[in-house]
Amino acid sequence: MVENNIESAIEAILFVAGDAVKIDDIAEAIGETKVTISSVADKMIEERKKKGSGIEVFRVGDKLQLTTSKKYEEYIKKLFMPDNTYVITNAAIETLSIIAYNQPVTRGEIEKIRGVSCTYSLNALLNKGLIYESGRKDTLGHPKLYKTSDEFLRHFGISNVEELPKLNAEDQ
Amino acid sequence: MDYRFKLDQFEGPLDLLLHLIKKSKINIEDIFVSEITEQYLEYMEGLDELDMDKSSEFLNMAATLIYIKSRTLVPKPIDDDDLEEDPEQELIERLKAYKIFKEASLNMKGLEKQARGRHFKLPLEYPFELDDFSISGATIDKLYTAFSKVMERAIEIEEHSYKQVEIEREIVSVRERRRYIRNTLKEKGTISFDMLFEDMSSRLQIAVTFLALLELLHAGFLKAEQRENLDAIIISKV
Repeated sequence: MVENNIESAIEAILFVAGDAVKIDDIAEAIGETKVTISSVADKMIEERKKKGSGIEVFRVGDKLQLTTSKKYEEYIKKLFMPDNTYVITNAAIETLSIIAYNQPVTRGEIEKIRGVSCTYSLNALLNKGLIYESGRKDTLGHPKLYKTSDEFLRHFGISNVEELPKLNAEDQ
Repeated sequence: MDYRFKLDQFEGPLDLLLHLIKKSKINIEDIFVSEITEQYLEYMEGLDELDMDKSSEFLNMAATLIYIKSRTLVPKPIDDDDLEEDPEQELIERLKAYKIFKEASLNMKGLEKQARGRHFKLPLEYPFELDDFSISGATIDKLYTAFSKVMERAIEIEEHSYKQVEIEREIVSVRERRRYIRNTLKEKGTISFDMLFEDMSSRLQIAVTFLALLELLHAGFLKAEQRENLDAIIISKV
């Protein structure tokens, strides 16, 4: 397929999906390779940023999703007053940062670092869909393991966990 | 009450200690050659204002600090050393680790602020219209049987466990349970009926979750399959 068409195809697919779509799935549907789709996506991301487009393409891990440009936030707010602007409590974000940098991690490991129980924070984060239970640890009691989710990436505006700022590891 | 002793401004004992250390402008390693222990103990006056869980964490740390301080006053018996981990070192390590993540959370708050103003379309709940929709009678039966079993187990657990005093009224909404099911499936792909209810022991939660599941099945967003009689019922996205 001609590259212009690939771009348009991706556009159309992402529009209908709303939610993030795996690059693999797009590749299969269009009949191109994953590498092709990925590089076209990168181009799309670049171009739209340069053009100042109102709709941007965003990478969520190995998926793509359409999103709005922050420049037009005030108009959107005026018209729709969307309620998806929530801010996380300090306790929850401490818990979340421990999970983000150490995943997968158990509740016990989190509590060891924070020094306090994190039941409430974990539930809040699970309910918001920012983390999920990825499995169980192969130790006594088989405790649950937690990882950050796609929603986590979207909420913090990053495309994968590696984009988190490096830890200030001092003399640890 | 003296505002200095307000403990609820701190996330926990480690948070309070880091605050005192920062105020005194010392290194974490020097915590026990300073007045930090005494300052921390002064804050214990504010314990009454906290709930039991939080106050016990603070109290626990107070005991640890006093214990560590006392060790510096008494010569250590020679064979004690190599056996247990030095509690002073352990606490210092914990403070360092916690400090790192406190800073990380601040950075993440910055990221969060920057990311605000970006909007994503939520996935359509009921993506396509279904004109011909049918459930085979057998499946409804199986679902009901599976649900009854899960409820029975929950009732058993409730009857055999100690009566707990409920502090908060439980609020469970169908919408939230729908989101929970969809999130679970998003991450796991498919899940068996039993696994979906595995961690729930509250009958209210089970019933509402089942309602949410039925809604999602009815809308055609999910499907339930059972290969053979008595096999697990597998729930997956359509």
